[in-house]
Amino acid sequence: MYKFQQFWCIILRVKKITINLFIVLNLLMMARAQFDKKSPLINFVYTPITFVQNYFSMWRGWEMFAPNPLRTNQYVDAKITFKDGEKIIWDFPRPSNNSLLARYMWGERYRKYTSDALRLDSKKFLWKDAAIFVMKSIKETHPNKQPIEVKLRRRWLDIPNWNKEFILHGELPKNEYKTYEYYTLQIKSL
Amino acid sequence: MKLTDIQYVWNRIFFDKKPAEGIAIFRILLGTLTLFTFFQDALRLEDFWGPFAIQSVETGLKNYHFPILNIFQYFKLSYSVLYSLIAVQFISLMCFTLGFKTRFFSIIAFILLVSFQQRNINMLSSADLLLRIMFFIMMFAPSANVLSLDSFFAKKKGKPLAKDVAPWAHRLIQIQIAVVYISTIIAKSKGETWLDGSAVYYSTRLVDLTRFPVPFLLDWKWFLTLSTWLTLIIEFSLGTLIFIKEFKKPLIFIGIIFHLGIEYMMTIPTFEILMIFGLLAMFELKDYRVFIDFLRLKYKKKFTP
Repeated sequence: MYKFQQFWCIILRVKKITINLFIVLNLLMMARAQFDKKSPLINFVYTPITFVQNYFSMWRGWEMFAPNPLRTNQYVDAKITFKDGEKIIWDFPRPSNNSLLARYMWGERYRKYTSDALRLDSKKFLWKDAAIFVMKSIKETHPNKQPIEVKLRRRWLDIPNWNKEFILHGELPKNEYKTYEYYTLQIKSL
Repeated sequence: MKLTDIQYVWNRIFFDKKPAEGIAIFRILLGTLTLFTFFQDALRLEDFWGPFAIQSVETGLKNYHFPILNIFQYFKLSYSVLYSLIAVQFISLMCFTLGFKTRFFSIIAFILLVSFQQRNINMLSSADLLLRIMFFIMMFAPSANVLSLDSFFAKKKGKPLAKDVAPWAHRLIQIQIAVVYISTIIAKSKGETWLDGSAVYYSTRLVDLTRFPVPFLLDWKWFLTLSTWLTLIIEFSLGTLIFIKEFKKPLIFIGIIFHLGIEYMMTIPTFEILMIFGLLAMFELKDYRVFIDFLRLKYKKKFTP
């Protein structure tokens, strides 16, 4: 009986130590967001925790609209050329082009993907998949047409300084969106 | 101050037994919201997760140069595999919310939540990160001792679960919510638009984030400036003053109104609701029992002849 009690005490002690370690792990992960990510000292101190953060994607940063909100309306679309020479523009399901329900249910996902990832040179590895996705989507809407080229385009429109030109809520600046074609997929090359 | 004093305070904060209702309510709220978010994504499963999605599994893995938890990398992705994983996740989230075999299903739900999110991390937002963090904490939390099927069956067996538990998980959630506000304030304090009062103007001119129109108010410069600075004051208070007993309830109320306002104006799915649920987790732990007892009493009175 005594031995059982002793064993149970050890179990409870181990449990408490484990919970304490888990609490400390979480507190350290919360604190890390405030430190300089490039600091060698911090990275060294955090070595054992880095694995957990990487493995579970627990990099905690809370910087929405910070340090400044974006001052550009931006998105990505695609220019498709068909075999017969016709060219059309294809839009990802952008929130502002969708119904209220679609915007809420999935629009933000596409916005995030195109504006914060697909648009960037640092995410070059996404471009080919996205162009193939566009091509497949086009085949569904234009089943009798043969696309031969998909071009991804960055489109952006700066929000002017409010002291120079004040834009009313829900409206866009008078200027046109700027366009830059940054990736071309030739279909025959697939 | 002695080391034992620190140990005493630490134990008081994290291990002094408190009513389990708070963490149980948070489990139900978190489970329901995660279920809804997962349902939202599942409506576009072909685009987000399918074998011919906007981003293949192989391309998705190029986002990382280290090992990650993503069970998709171990399968040749087909629709049958995908549908099976979606079904398992729905069941796990349902069981977690209802508190059935809670520990087991919360671990399954966490693994699948992370895997589905890592399948296409480029479309995720802070809300998804916060969901992951909350599930990470909830996996080991004693969140099903009350208001759960586990507690119901345990009571039926004559071995009721403890109604008071160590509140470490609830405390971690409270600290995490406060840290979100403090972090955002630190980050915003480095931006000139937050200081000159124009940040709300620029945020509300992003057409893809606009939801409902706000007549007049958002076209008045003084209102935009005031709301920019009020945002900073509210977020600072929600990260710090909320731990002072006297300020707690008014600040939770203000915080909820603040997030509902953003929810009305902007399309930022899940995040505002999750923060409201986070704020609801900020009450004194004994208050949740008072609230549940109040509901029980009301319910009994209503249905007792």
